[in-house]
Amino acid sequence: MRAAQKGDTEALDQLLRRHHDKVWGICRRLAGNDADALDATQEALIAVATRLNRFDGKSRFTTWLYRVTTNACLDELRRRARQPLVGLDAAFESVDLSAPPVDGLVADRLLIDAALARLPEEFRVAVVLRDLLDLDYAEISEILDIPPGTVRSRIARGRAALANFLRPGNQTDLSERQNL
Amino acid sequence: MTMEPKDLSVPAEVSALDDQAASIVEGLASLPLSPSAELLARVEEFHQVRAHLSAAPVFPDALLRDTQLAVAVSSVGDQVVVPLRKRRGPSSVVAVGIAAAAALLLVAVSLTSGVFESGSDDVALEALPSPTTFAAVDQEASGATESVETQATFATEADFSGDAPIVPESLALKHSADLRDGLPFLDLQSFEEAATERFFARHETAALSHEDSPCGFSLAKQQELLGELPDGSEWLPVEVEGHQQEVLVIFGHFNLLLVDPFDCLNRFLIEVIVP
Repeated sequence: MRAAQKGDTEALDQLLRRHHDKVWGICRRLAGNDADALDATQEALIAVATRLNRFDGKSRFTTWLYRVTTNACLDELRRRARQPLVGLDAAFESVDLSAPPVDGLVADRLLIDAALARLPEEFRVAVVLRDLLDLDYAEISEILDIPPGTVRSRIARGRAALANFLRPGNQTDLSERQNL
Repeated sequence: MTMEPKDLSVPAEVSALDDQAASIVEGLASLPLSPSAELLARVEEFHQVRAHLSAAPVFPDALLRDTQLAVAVSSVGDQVVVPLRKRRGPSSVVAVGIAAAAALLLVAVSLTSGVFESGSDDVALEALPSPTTFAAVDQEASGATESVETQATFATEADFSGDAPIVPESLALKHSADLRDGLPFLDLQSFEEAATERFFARHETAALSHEDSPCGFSLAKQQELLGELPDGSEWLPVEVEGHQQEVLVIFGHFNLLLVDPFDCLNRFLIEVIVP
């Protein structure tokens, strides 16, 4: 990591390569679709690479990495949300509620993806950091710069909202959107 | 056009049931000896959500990963993997794969020959040109022949054939900003709406004014940049920092390309335009 900070491009490549899957995972879950997640991941990788010399070692590297990644992904997604052809619609459209349940598991996952994309940002980030990366409240608190109690509350409320959405009959507004 | 997605309704407070279910799912508490059906159902729902979210999403393409890494690595030096195109619509997986493979090959060659640090020229990895290289950008567009030729050559060398790799816009803008030394940077994306309106108005009025060779681009080059055969072009009047200016809009049947006439590398492609 120090070599990468000093400008060793090969070391930087290895460092980014080692963490690429995590960066992608965060951005993919936050974006809700592959297309937006690809661009967000690219932005996050650039942010990590260009800000690496600012990492002072006061926190764990992964904590710093997840913070930079989360912020870069969200910035990119906010920017893209102001443009046409936003991916969130694609996520909704991928869930055909009128289709027969060929594979319940796949359908559930698509539903969860669609629901996650609609979860307000502050809750979505907390849930993703907890469930995808298995981070504890303290580390999420450090990444998001909010108190651990707030982290716990956001995760519980976010997860409850997702669970509520999965209940039969609670996706009616989604169906209405598809009929527009 | 996109509608604003409606946010999920998030409970204002965590209910006792949800709190208990969350604790069980988190492993902080165990199921009571005689759990209610309601609790069991809630725990199952929470488990379902957690099980899905904890599964790491699989990155779609290994070659694409290498391209992303190469772009990120190059962003810290004085050389960049030149991005000239922003993907807006669904791209062909094959085209992206080919482009990624080409980029990977070039990056591998440059890594083995130490191009990242040596500063020598390379097709895919271009050293940012010095401001003097493009001093002519201060001239009027019509008189900036030398600049246009130089930039067009640069663009040709930097372009990958067909679809370029997916590259973030920020890097493209940074690159173009350097070329536009001494002039305020033209954020073409901010004219997206106006250009899109022209796109539709043009179809309604069929009033075209085709430039013979806008920005020094040949017809083939325009086709390459636009991703389809050009259908026409217009000068779009815009206001930049209080000054009236014009940007070039090249129309296709489905896409349009915005070009800064003072920096022909500063381009913004809008693909698959739908009302």
